[in-house]
Amino acid sequence: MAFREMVDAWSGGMRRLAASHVRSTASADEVVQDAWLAVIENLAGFEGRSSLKHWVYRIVANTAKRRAARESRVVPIGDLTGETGATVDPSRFRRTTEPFPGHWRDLPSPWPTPEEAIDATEVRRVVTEALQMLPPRQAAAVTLRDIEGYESDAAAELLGITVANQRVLLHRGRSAVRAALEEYLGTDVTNDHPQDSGPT
Amino acid sequence: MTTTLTEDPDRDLDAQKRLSRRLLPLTAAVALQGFLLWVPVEKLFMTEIGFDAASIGLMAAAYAAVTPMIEIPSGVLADRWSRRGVLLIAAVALALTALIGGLSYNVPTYIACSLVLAVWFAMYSGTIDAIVYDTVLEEIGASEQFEKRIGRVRAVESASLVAGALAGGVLAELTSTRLTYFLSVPFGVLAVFALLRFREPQLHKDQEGVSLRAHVATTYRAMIRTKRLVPIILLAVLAALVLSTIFEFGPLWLVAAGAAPGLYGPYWAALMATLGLGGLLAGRIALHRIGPLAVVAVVAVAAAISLTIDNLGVAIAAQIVLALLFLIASIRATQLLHDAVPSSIRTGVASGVGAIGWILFVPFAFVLGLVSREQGVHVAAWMIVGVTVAASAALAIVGRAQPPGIPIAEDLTSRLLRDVRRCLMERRHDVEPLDCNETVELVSEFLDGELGPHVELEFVNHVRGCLGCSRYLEQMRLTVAELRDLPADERLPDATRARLVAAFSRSIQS
Repeated sequence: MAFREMVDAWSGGMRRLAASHVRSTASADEVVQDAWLAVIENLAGFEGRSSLKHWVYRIVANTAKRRAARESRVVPIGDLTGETGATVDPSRFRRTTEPFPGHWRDLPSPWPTPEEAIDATEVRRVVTEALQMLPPRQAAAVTLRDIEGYESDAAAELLGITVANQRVLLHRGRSAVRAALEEYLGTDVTNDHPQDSGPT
Repeated sequence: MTTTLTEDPDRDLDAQKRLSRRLLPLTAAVALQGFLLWVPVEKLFMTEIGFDAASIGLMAAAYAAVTPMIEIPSGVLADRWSRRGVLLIAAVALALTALIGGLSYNVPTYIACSLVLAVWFAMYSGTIDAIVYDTVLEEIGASEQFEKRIGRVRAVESASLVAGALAGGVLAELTSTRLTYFLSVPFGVLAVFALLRFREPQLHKDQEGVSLRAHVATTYRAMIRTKRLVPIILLAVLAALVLSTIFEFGPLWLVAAGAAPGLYGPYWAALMATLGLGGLLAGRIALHRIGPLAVVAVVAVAAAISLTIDNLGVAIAAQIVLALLFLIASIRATQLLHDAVPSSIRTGVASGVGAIGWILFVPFAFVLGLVSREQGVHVAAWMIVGVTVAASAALAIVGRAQPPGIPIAEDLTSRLLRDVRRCLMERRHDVEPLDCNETVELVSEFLDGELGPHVELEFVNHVRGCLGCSRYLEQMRLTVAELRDLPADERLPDATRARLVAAFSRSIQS
């Protein structure tokens, strides 16, 4: 892979990882740039003990942490303020005063199967947008685990948090992306009884 | 230690054998209760003791009126008290039916007999499925064997019904119709003893207790307010109506043609065989495709119209075709219905739909009986044509609906099997059952395999029985898959990119 292509393909993920440590997207962009420069500088030192990408990601994580410290935005390990509460809208479940508390009020509507010709590019756009809307740390967790395919301990290390907290972020991120997909796929496109919807 | 044990194939084999041994008395009880010598010649016997078509209709209506009144409480009784207990009541009722029937010399006593039979039916139907499901889960630790096991039980039942029908026909021909009743009594009594040897699974006792009123209220709300359930319920009800009509009134065509008692046996055996055959065919006919759907509808209506023709052979063939097609239709309706409602009210909705079917059958049976007496069965058959057309229309409306199914990948199931078994072996169960809102929060931990075996068991148990959560799990897996497929193509600003490429070139040159 040519260097140019590598920069294009990896920078998105690197930026999301960086953004999980630093304050602004501008800072994140600078972290990515600094990280690439560090990569270029240290390329000779790359020993091939891990994949090149993982090595690059570690450089991003370290660069971002240093910068965060300089911005005095030290994220206490395990602090997940704003990361609590239900990942699915509680109003979708029956309240404690109702029969069958905690059960679905209305089931999640089924999604069309791939055979039912869903617009793949459109789905991709929805997922990409949802990913961009995520809080930085959730976006980073989702990027590392689901897009890059990292195991939970490696992802946790790059994010500088515990494995458990990493999973909390991941789950919240995934839930939000699922919710976005549900909004797109679950209602109008197709439901399981097309004749019900009629000419509305 | 536990791991090596559970992964040992011999141990799987042991579990299989243990399950078979455990289900043996239950299967025997099913076989004994299927061996009903009197059923094929019932209508013949009834005409012998003074019934005419109208009073047969009246009796069928009485039967239909009582069944739903017992059916719903029987479901509650099975869940709250004991399923084996409910089956024991059923077996006793069956023996009593044969006894009272054999002692009947007039219409009122025989109507009493049919009401006791209604108790058997209400107690028996559905309970077997639930008890087999729980036994499989308790012995194997997963429900994947359920279809195979219930299939075997149904096959035994169907064989027994066929054998009983054939033997009953021969017996009536050789001796009398009355004797078929008395000789059926011991089979019901033996079924009681077989059931007493059956060890009842205890799984359903863990389930949350909900007040009866709340349960019924939720059930009816789901039935009435869920718009897309309406055509499915309609199909279930109309298919049940056609089936009840065939089973209750079908033999009248033989009575009208003055058929010999010996013919009733093979006739009834063939009808009973459709029960087994319909179950086998149900999964194989693609009723969501327009072609098979149209064929089924056209054949059904044609068969119903054939019943208006005064030809016994044609009528028998038409009845068998109708029974087969509407059994398949009703299995499809049941499946769609089960998939469309949450597990907590699934039995309730099914009972409710059954009740509507019976309630509808009351006036229908009454009128059909009257018309049969006044105008003959071949005129009354036009009523069956009407219902068949309506049921075919419902089938078409439900039409292309795909059963969503419960999508849990095989790999997960096999991975879980070990944990689930371990939990069951320990007989320790300190984890509370999960609600849906708790389950959805555990999905990522589950996908990472980080739930402990006990929570994982609860998770899987819940997801398997809950359409909402199984959809949620599947959608989260799809979400992960979509994320994985995302092209990593978010470029840096052009200026930054150019600077980096330049820096890289310099580093190589230096």
